Amino acid sequence: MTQRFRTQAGGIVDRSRPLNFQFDGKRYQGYAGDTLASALLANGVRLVGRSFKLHRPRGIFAAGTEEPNALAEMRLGARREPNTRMTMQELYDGLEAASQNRWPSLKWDLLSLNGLISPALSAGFYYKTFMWPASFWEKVYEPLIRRAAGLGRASGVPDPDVYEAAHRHCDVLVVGSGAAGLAAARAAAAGGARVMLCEQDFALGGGLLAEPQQAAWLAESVKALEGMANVTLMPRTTVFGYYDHNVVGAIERVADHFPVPPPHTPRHRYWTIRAKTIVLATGAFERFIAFPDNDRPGVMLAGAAQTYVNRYGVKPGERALLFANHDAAYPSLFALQDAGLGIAGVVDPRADSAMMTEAAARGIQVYAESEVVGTVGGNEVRGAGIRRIGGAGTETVAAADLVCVSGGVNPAVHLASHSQTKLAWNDKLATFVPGAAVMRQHSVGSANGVVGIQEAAAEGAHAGAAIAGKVADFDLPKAVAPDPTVWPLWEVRARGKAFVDIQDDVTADDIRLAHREGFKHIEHAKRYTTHAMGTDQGKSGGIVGAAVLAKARGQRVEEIGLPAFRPFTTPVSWGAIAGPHTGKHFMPTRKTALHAWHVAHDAVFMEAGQWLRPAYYPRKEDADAWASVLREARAARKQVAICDVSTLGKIDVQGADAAKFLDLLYSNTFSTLKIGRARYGLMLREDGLVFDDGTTTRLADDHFFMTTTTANAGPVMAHMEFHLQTCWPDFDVQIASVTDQWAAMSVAGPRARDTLLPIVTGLDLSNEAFPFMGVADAQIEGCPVRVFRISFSGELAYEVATPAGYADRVWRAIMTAGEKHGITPYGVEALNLLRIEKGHVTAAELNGTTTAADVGLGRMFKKQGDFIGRSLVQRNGIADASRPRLVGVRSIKRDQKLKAGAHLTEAGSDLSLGWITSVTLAVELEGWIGLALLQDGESRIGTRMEARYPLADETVPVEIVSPHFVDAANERVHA
Amino acid sequence: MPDAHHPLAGHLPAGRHGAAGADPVRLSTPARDIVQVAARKGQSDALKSLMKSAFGLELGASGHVASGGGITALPIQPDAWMLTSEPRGEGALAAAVKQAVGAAGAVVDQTHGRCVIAIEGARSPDVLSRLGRIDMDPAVFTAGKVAVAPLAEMFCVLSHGPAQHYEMIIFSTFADSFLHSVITAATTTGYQVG
Repeated sequence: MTQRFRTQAGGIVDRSRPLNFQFDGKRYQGYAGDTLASALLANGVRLVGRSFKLHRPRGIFAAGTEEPNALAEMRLGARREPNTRMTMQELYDGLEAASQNRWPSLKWDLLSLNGLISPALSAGFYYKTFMWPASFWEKVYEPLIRRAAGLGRASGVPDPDVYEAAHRHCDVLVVGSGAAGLAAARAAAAGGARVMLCEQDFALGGGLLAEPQQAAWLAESVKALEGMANVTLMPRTTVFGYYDHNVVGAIERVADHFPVPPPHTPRHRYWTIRAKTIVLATGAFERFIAFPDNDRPGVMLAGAAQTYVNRYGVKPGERALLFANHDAAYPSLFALQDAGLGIAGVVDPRADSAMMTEAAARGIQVYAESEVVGTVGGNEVRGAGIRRIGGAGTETVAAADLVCVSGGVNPAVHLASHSQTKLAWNDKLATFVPGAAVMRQHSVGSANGVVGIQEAAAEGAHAGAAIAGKVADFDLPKAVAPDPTVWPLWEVRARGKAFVDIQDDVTADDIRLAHREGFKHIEHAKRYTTHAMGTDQGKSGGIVGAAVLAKARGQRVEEIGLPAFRPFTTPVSWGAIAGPHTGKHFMPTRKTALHAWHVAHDAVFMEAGQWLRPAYYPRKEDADAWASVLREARAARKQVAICDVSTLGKIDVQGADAAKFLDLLYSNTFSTLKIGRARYGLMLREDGLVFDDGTTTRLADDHFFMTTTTANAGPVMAHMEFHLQTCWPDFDVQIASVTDQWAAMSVAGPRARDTLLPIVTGLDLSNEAFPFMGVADAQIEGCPVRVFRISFSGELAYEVATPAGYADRVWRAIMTAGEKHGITPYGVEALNLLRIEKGHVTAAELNGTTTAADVGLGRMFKKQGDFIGRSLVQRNGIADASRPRLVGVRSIKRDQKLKAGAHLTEAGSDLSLGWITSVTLAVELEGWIGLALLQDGESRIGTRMEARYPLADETVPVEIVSPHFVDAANERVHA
Repeated sequence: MPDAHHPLAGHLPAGRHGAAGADPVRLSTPARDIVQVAARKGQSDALKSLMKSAFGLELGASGHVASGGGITALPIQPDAWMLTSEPRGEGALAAAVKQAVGAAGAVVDQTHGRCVIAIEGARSPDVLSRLGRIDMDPAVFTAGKVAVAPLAEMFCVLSHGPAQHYEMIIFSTFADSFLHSVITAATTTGYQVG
């Protein structure tokens, strides 16, 4: 509770607001404005994690999103989330975090014994080792590896929090709120542009937050932006991806700074932002130098150390040593010295520089032309070995509990790279900077390789003003930039493991091994070694590994480049990606106007695309689902039954050329259809395969009412639109979807007419006056209805359509009228049973691979005139008479279940001659029946075959029969 | 004729819901007659002229609301509009429009096939921005603007009426699902019904 590493003063934490938190079950205290990382350092906690593979002890290495080591499991129970970077986690009162990837404890981790076999755990270890015996891979090796792999643990239970998605448009999106970002936003906004500024930190300011002398300019800039109505400031918002047309994705961490999100508050909000121009002021990441044991807790990026001391008022150690190769790293060491840390010295491979001179003037021992050859200590660093460049072994050991390292800085080019901006080499900084922008985008400040606060702000202001078309009129921060010239030093080769990827335990030797084994391309080496993968994506070590590979190849770094940057730049929660679309809200659902009735009558629903349809209506006396289905189907065959068929697609077609259009759309003719009559139609795709079917009614000379299958309502509408717009744009045809306007119910069975007669007014339902395929308007209980005498079940049937608002009333009226006839509601399962018995095809047969002839509808083609698909249906393969044709199948042992998908073979043969498409228990006859597509199908009717289902090792003897199990003469529908 | 059942009847319980705080949005499901009208080939000018004569309604250009004769016209595609009015009785609006335009237009009653969800209040753009990609900045999607776009992944005709009033015309069979999305989006803002 002492925070003994907290400075006496300084920093921008709120020392009046202490916050209590726990790490690995131990209680600590920090301040508002801390991150978990800074609060742990303030309490002297140095060991915070274990490495991925070797379980080496790891400490806090950075102060931002590039942190490779300090990953924690945040929160408890269902909210537990692994791999949270402690450097990004804002401290809140009651925070609970735990270290991960260790057992039984962080300090004593049994798997750290991996270190003893570390020579065997080199790159490609898995690929080389788990080769034999092959059968062990799935059963032994993979389960073991999976158990050992990973860092933290997901909660394993549903996430209780909610996530939100939202869209935003702006003239200018500024990513990053350092000097360049603030200046760009202010300049653009002053010119009237609609500006958004996204900052992933909870505080605005970027690197300025670690520069106390810039506090006044920072505060004034933020205040100015907050006062502009055309500016939206979005802290805690990480832009993770930059996509075509200046679309970016961002995650706003709305409630991660609370133990539990406040009521009605999403945890994260996923923003899709469309910007006319994007300013990337994303800053830069300091890179390290690879040297032996550069992963030991207490080794830290120099800039991070400066951030801890200046922003958070935390001393990251007591005695610091700096290992750097450029002057821009020295202010970090001076900040530590000013904060009261002891300084062990500075190790620099250069002979001399302005900052080396200044360091000496400050009384700091300068090890010029030297390098760090390793660190000493156990779970914490106690010192560093030093030698002259070109020397051997260790010449000096400097005692230090903090080894600051800086090999230069890398502009954060990730987002620019997503936008397809090529990277260019900057010799002075020895790194890659953004090249010419591809989209309307500016990289500014240190993200563009600019060094110095004043210079960065100036570039940002210039970009903002250029976008807005108005010269910026505000003061820029004043600062003197140190010389950024880097003396390239990527690796110190000495005894020990020199890591180029601290999170994934990838060493410089691993990179060389990859090269030796042929993985010489930067992308191949990355994948072979896992270099620059993981949550940090190699932000501080990616280029170091690339440099090691370049040297192995005998090339320069700029010649081999970096692995491609792709979204996401930084980890994003799955919850944010899913947003509100979870569980049953994964996609929209569609309900018919009769849905409430179905619910009230205990319907079991099934999903049919987006529709929810009653599958069946169970009753207490039904032994199982099949009993319900069979009962419903029997009612349709013997009495009367009613089914909600509102889901069928319905399209209103009007215009002088409507009939001509339908003649082209369908393979059969509609121009001859009389008003008040319906006709079945078969629609082909351009390639001649069957697309859809349905009935179409002529309401007037120039007015038709089409129906489609439920599944194809949308595609048929699009098909019609496409052909009207592209093939026949001169046609006078207007189409409109009326699927939702009309609810529809099928009343089927021998007592269907008896049921409707008493309640239908305005229409003579007698067979003579209203024959099969007749259509007419009428009323039921005063509600307008349109009655279609059509049948899918094969029984005497009527489809009663009514404007959806009357559906419930009309349905109830029919139910009441049908009571004395035993009316029974039936669902999709019984509907399917009935149609299989009748031999009607649906999506199971019209599956995108069948022709009209395949399913027994070839005779429907009109003799004269063109239609869509006519040409290509004549192709040899499509017109081949030996193609599988529709037949019926029936189990010889009637109770032997058939399975859809079973192959039909001759007895004793393995040669598949066809397959079963649909099966059901029958009510018209005994046992299992089905429809099938079978080679030479018609000629096999009357023969016996086997239905084989190898997945279940089943063989069922079947007889091949006509697909029309019921009323092949079609007498019932005409009754 | 019996009263028709609204697909969202009873789906929006009255009261204050969602996040507390000032300025909740107001949600409602106003009853509307809805008719889809499309000009017959080459009859666009004739249709507009006939609509103006009959209703004083000047059918607007793409993206803009027009009103007249108690009818609001929302362009939904080239030479096609969704017309809405206060309820006039079953089929009355469609009949009136059909009588007015005759052979110049294809008239389809959609009163039962579509329904309206209205949202009102200063924070409506925030709620709507959670449903779709339209730029909801009131300075961009100004009063009188119409957009035909997916909201909550469902087809929607969104219009900005006077002041801070927005109406969404959606397919009736999606209405329940769509309303759920609207409510979800409005919960973090807070909403009032009635």
